[in-house]
Amino acid sequence: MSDARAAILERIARALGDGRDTAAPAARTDNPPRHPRPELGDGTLLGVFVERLRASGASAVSTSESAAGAAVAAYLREAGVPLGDVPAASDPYLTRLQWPDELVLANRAPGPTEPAAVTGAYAAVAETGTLVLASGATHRTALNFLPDHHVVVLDCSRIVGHMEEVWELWRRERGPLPRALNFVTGPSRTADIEQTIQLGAHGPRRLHVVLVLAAEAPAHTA
Amino acid sequence: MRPTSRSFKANARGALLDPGLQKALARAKDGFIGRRRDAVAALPEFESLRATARDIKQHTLEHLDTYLLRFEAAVQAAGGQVHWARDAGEANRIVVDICRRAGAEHIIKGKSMVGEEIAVNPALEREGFDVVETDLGEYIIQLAKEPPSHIIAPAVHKSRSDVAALFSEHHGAGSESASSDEPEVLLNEARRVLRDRFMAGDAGITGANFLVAETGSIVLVTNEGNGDLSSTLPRTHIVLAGIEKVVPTLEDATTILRVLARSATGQTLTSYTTFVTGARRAADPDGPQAFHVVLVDGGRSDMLAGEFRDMLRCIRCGACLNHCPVYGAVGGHAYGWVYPGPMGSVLTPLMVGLGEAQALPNASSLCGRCESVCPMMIPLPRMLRALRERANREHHVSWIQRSALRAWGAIAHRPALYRVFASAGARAIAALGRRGGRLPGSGPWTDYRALPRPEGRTFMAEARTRLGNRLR
Amino acid sequence: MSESHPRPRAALFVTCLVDLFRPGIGFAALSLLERAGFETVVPRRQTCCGQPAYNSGDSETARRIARDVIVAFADADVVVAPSGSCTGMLRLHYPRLFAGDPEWEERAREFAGRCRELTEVLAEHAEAIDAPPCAADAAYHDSCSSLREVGVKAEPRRLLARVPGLRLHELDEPEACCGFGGAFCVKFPEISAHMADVKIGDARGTGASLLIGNDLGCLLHLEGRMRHRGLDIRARHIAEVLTRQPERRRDE
Repeated sequence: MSDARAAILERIARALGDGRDTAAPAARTDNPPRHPRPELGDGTLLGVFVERLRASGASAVSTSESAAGAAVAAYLREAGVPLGDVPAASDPYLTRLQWPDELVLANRAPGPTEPAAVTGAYAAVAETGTLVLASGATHRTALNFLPDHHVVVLDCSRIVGHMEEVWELWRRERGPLPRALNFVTGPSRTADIEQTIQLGAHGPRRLHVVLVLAAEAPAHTA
Repeated sequence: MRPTSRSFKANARGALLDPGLQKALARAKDGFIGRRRDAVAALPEFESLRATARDIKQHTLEHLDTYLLRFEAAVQAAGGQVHWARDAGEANRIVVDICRRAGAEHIIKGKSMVGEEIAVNPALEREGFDVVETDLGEYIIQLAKEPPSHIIAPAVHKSRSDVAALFSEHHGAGSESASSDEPEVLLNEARRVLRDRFMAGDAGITGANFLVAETGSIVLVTNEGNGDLSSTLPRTHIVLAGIEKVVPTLEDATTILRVLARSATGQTLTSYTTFVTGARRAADPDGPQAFHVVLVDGGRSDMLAGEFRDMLRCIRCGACLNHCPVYGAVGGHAYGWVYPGPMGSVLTPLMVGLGEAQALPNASSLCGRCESVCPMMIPLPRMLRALRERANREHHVSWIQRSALRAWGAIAHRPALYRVFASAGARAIAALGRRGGRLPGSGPWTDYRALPRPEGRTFMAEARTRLGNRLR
Repeated sequence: MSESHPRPRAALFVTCLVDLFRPGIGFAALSLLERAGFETVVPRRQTCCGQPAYNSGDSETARRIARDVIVAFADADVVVAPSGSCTGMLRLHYPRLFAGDPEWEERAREFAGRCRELTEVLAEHAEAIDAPPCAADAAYHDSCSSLREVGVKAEPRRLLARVPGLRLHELDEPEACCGFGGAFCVKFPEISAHMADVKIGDARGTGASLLIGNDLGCLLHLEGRMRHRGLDIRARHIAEVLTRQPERRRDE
């Protein structure tokens, strides 16, 4: 209905009047204001991220890259999830890891009662303990939402301080946005029944992050 | 949704006498207020973020057409479509049309307050579509055939046994809810039932907390994940959004997100904050093939022109409701339409008319707590007064009240005459107080409170003798 | 204006409620201001600040009254009101009432700059306040205007700390409105009474036998509600507590 479009735009223009500085939006685009960002405190980015990740109700373990696959398998085993056919994202970072034989990751869509899915993450935000998951050829969005357990293998070098840095990173590395960028902070929750906070409304009941630390640190650290 | 704001006083009276509702409201209030307080205390930058958020929106509204056009172009560049609707009728026709052309039968919905405004569910149902609300609170009230009573927690007025009764009635024989009202049992049952509906959805309708002009993205802010499932699984994703939801850039959205979740639920971010840009890309293994944004005016462009523009900064966080003593006393249904509490008392008269909703801006002591907690620094009391002003001017107020005020003003303008009335009044009330304190028409005070007994002489009368020439 | 006055001149804005119901508060305020070093006067041509009209949407009438007030108090160095809501009206709302008016906007702004609330002023001279003893458990009720329009919270407490024997308790929810709100309390009496009950419950929870405040509207509303319910808590204006507290009034 382009009638409605024209009418609405006309109404807006009339309401805003002639006095406005029409150059302002372009000027703002050229010179965007820098908004305040919260201080993250004294700890390391990793330390802050893990603290806030855990505070959001997710669980986390740290491991080296060579042990990451085993860590995922260990979590799934303990959660009682069958290991033979677990839907997963297929980004190179994940597929490159060493996976125990009994854990078979499948490049398929999760079913409606899928017990678990395994994915990587594009980045993570320390400010809020948030994982950043991007839709794309190697990552079905449904993996983040349908299963009971969502296991994320996170390369810790992808942890940034604030959400703004995710935008900087994405613009630099990828350009246009994907269909869906999910900022996930903890498992699914609701307080709709008598204000009691419960986990596992529609999305995953459990969010587990396997934090892959940088290559082995030397034995003596400063 | 058809408004019943006209009956606010009667609704409120009923609400005050409902013990179940009172218990639910007290519980909700303490939770929301405490959680917000803790979140704000943990963020020293909160005050400066409020000012920044206000400035972002203020700038955007000043150039709303520019930013809406940018948004539209960006959505189209990302493969989506933008539709414009002046009112509910147009919006519903667009939505029905999209669903029909998509061959949809089952519609799944994430929470959308604009959807409530335009009553999109009944419109779809009338055309033969099956619509299910997937937000747990919205699902509960959909079963109960009630409107939402809070913009964040729509079923806040329902007890667990209410929910169990609804579930066992609708989920069929053998449902666990028939024998248990434990929240965990109810949640698991809802998750199971709605999971089937998610998988069967042909089209998903969501709202949007923000529309980002720079990229054509819409932002979904949820805790349950239902918004994401509704916008990922079906073939078609339809977004309903008011035209005021647009912000210029991703960074602007990020900044306002910082104050949104903290103000609403006390979280730093909700479990799922999702930026959706267009439809499935060629290489994507899932996601809708069609992405539509329906921009709804619904009275918003009218608000741009005058003293109510600031109301368009509202990000629907609910903080004002949670801190409002009137909302806390009577709950959301009393307000009679989609939006309750302070923000509802401004929006409802502007959207459905003062004739219907005049009681709402009056049902406030103008305490100002709402403004003090609003993350967007909206001067709510100022706008409530402005609506009272408009009601006065447009004669929604009884001529008795208008004349009484003018008469009182005329007396107050003449101090000598005022003294006569005041002294007489003081003596009369003092006398009445001795006799058990009721005046004809004093019911609204004396039914609830003892009459204050004046000391007999007014200050000004007493001052003549006591102050000498200091009274001048 | 004020030439060689050795002491600053404070003009008392009595407030219509004090005038009508509790003149003692007005005289107490004068006495306190004098102790604080002011020369006090009471302009006789004052009646009301105009809030009832303003809050009911009748800005015309409110402006009419406001002009009278501005003229009546033209001479005062400082205008002092024993009321947060009246001070808020004079200081915050008078300039808004005349926004865009070529003559009166500036006059209102200038006037507003001279308006102060009683505890705000007295707190600056707290050492001069020699309050009589009052052995009681008390709670202080901050009016909404005091908190949000005038911005006083610590000031009344600083003053009450100088009352020998007074045990001041903090309410759980000092930010919650008591439900007076001017005409609101009679337009929506059930909601207003409910809000009063919440505030009274809070006060009872502290064990207070005395509720102190600086807005007479709030106090009459709360006191009226407590008496209606047969409760034994008394409500007093802070000016009464700082000078001579009437032990019992005729209606108690």
